[in-house]
Amino acid sequence: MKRSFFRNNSILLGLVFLLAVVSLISLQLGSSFISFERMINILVGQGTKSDILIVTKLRLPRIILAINTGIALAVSGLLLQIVIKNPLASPSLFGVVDGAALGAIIFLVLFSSETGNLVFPVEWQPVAAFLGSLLAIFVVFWLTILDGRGLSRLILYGICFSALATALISLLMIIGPIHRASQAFLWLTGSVHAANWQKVVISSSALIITAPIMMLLSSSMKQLMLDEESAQATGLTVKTSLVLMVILATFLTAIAVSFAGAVGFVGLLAPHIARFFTPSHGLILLFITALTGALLVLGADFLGRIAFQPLQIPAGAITAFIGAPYFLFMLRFKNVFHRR
Amino acid sequence: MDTKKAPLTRYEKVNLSYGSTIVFEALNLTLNEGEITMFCGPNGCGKSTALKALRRLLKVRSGIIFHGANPIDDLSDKALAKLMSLLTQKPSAPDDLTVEQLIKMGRFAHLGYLGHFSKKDKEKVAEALSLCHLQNLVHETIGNLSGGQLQRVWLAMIIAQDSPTILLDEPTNHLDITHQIETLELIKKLNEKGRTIIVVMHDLNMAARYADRMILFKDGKVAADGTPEEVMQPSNIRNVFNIDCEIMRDNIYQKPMLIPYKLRPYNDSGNLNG
Repeated sequence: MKRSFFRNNSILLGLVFLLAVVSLISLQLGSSFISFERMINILVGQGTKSDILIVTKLRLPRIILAINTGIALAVSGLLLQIVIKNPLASPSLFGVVDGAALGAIIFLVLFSSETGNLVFPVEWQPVAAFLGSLLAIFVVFWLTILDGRGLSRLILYGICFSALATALISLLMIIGPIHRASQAFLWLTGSVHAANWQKVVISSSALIITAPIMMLLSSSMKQLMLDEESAQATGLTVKTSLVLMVILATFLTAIAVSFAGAVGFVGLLAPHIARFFTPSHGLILLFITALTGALLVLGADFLGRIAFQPLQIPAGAITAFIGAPYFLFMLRFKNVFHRR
Repeated sequence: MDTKKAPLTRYEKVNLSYGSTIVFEALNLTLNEGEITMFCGPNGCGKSTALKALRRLLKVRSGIIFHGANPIDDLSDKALAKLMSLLTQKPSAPDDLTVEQLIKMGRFAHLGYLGHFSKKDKEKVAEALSLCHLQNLVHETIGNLSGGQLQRVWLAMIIAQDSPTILLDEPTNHLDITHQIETLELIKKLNEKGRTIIVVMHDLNMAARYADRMILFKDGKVAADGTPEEVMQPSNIRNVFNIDCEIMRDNIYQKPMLIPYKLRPYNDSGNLNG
């Protein structure tokens, strides 16, 4: 017991440290290198104007948004995997991501004037995406409730909704102006390049508000490893916990993708990596999953910024690039999908 | 003996059904504190249903189930879990869980919001471990256990829940004779420590050996109810199971033992003759 306590804490500390290091390097590296000295100058208020602009207006919000996106997607994936009792469950299966995508693309394409200008300022794009994800949540949940055969039907209705949304997106991208299509494509891949403090504040608030609920749910998460009857018999109010977890998961996904676009694989991958680090199934797993997700998106964004300079590869392309082979490896060589 | 007979659970005009299939109509039944009660009967007679309803895994259509002073519907899920634990017929958990992790899950109802384990929680887990002779398997993952060992782990989880009443749904199913006896001896030991125990059992001879009271269900009705001696009568067995049999006594425990002879013929409508 003592040993696992020590082990869990050192892993947590290690991940926090790693996240801090990657954040710091991300702050320094990019199209222009900012040395420690110049960073300290900024801190004490003596930095040059351009340094201050690069660090506080461009890189810092981008880093924080990447971290928030990672946390939200990872935790969302973990919750959904537990609720559906399937290690392959991920936020993208529930229609939420494609719903948000539809919202964002409708905004880009339909609200584009003849001259190619946007009718509304681009700051409203996340709102459109969020509305799209809300629509998806509403439709998918409504169908699941009508169905009445349990939460696992969410996936099926989610897939249906996604298919329809994807079809509409393709259609819109084809009929819309060509320069909008590349913008839309960037959104669909997922990127935190358009970060600003407003997005940081909103996404951080969402995480801070949901954090206590997530922590309270962590012991229920653990208990849900039992079959539902056994879990109920040990004292868990199964239905309420499941519904809360699904609502929380979809909300987190909606927040993440509204700002960062459809960053893929994080919700699927982060919980799996976290399970390698810890035997825990509760609070510790939740923390480690969140940190892993943050590291994934932040690391991906960092790599995407510096790997092919001056070209910027969106974070979502990198996570998919890492995610798919990793997943293949897990499927092929590890027995992680034979848990039951 | 009188202290053993205090009524604890009362089914009052309880209706139970799965969808449109009615299992019980107006079931009235009182179960006593400190006894081992065994529910027996043919497949589909409702014995598991009655057990599940008591643990509120199935809501009653009408009627009330009292446990202690309260109707069970008045209690929260955690409060109910502190009064009654239940081992389901086919419990499941991920294979990579360790024995200790699984047993600790029995403490859920006693933990605080963040799931912190107190000294008492740890003691109860240790107690359950030793009672089920699992000390050597604490860190083993449950996927590596034999059927008998796994059943002991599930029992240990229920024991760690530390409730005065324990419900077991066919706990000896799929176990060999050694592990059947082992499980039932453990149940007896728990009963001697003051636990009230209600078991759904298929094996009438095992039930008769260990039960203080046997209840035979048939078609959603109580067909026979009493001590094993009272219930294990050829007439009751013929009525409930439709077989001819002979009842003997074993030499050591002097408990009734059934030797089945043959099935009675089906009637024209395809049902067994009652």
